[in-house]
Amino acid sequence: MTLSWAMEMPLGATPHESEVSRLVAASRQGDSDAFARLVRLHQRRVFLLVGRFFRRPEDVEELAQETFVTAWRRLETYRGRAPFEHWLTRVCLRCCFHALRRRKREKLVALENEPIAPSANPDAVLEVERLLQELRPVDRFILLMLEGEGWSVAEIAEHLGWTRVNVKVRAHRARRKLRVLLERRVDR
Amino acid sequence: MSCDELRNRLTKKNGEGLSGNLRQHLRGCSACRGFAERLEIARDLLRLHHADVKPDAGFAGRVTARLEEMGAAEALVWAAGRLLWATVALTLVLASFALRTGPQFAVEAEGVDYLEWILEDTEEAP
Repeated sequence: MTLSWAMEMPLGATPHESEVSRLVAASRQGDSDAFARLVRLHQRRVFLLVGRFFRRPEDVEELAQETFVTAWRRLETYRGRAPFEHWLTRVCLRCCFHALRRRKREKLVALENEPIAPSANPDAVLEVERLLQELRPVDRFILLMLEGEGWSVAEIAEHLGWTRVNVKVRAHRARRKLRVLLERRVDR
Repeated sequence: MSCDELRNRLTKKNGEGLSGNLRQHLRGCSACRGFAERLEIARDLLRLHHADVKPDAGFAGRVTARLEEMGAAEALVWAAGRLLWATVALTLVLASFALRTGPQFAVEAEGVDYLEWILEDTEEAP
């Protein structure tokens, strides 16, 4: 279950772009019913995005709500040059990033019954899981996109609206911290 | 290839295949093999981390309710701000009115010509 899949997946009855444009225009005029329709059309995608970075269902709900509230407040910044989903993705990722910055620790948890390096020692898995909890949330945020999704620096920069230099610097720092954490056990 | 170089490359490789040099070093270095194994586990954990939470039927309603609450709160703040500015503006207008008209009314009420008074006083001075 990747973010790339989330961003490409059809949303059941995929709305025509003109309908989305109409709903966006109506929402800008303060039509809350139109905005509620936009929420229903995009909520699954947003939950998938947020669920990548947050573990607890209440946190996912909170960040998903915050994404749409932020989208409502900043609707005038959507210029219609790209699909609305791309703009909403950027809003969502930025909300997740800012929320992670306010937190200290977030435990990584894998889906149940998903194989984690099947040949690996279970003790090693537990140990690495514990070490990853020591990552700062902002480092984990970048690593989840780099390693978890396999996105390139350019793709991350585009999705978040950051410069490539900014992403490169953050990626370098996050990878260095990951290496230090993993070496701590290996080299003792 | 040094251990430092190998670990740098492994950390950056994003899970891609290993080159011959890297494999050769790993064959001969147990510490780097341990590091590579833990890096692979870390990548699996990062890849498989997901809350798997789906929105329920009431989610859109909760969002719009939150927007309505925010709208009411922001309207109150906006109205309070306007009231404050209106009060300040009215106070300034009244103050300027009082300053301009107060002494003039006093002079007219008393019927005193201050200029004549000053001239009389000057003429009588030795």
